[in-house]
Amino acid sequence: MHIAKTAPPRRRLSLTSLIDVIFLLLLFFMLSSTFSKYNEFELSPGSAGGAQSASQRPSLLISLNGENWRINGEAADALNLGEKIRASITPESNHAVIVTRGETSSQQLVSVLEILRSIEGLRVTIAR
Amino acid sequence: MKLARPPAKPKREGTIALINIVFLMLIFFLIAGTLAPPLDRAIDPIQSQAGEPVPPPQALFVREDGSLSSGGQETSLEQWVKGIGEDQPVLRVFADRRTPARLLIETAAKVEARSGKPVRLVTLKVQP
Repeated sequence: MHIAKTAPPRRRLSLTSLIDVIFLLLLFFMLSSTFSKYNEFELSPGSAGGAQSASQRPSLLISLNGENWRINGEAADALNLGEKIRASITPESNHAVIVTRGETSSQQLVSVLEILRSIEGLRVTIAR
Repeated sequence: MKLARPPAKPKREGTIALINIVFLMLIFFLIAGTLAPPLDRAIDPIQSQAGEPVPPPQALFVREDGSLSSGGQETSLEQWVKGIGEDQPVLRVFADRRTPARLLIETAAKVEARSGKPVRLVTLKVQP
């Protein structure tokens, strides 16, 4: 007579290898992920020279020389730059050109770009 | 006669609890972090508070002295522009905060001229 063998008792799944893999995954994601956030700014270096019609002529010249900022020759700083620009633009003349001189650092340029970004309807060109 | 009771067997630590915690950490890192492309360690990034948010970029790194690197290796402008895929609609540069602004603008202009694509400057976002 054929007697069916009783099925062997199922072995419990080993937890050790599971934990191994999970630890490896955890380690990978911990080491390879970053939590820093980034912002970007448009860098549109305008070409110097060339014929320009009157309507394209910039209405604002922002010149940066280190900590020395000037709008159309008038001294400005981080606190009043935005206000001064808002006061002097109109819908027809809203084109600003940034000129960097001397030892202006990239950080200073970005600080200015950040202020200009908050002004509605202003077109900004960075002169080479 | 009084016999000393055999010491109680130490209870096994709950493996399930351990796995639970590790799983939670794994999920946290999976969701909260983004995979970071290699950054240039020599660069102290430009900081900004506002701007267009972007994920960690595959960028061209401009060091303080104007030398270029990408993916942790020194590179040249031509090499980088050639190596970057055609499918990238915009190219990104990432600069040290002390880089002279002139140098940065010059570099961006060269990249733009070579690739014919718009160039954006990526900065690290900091809390105000």
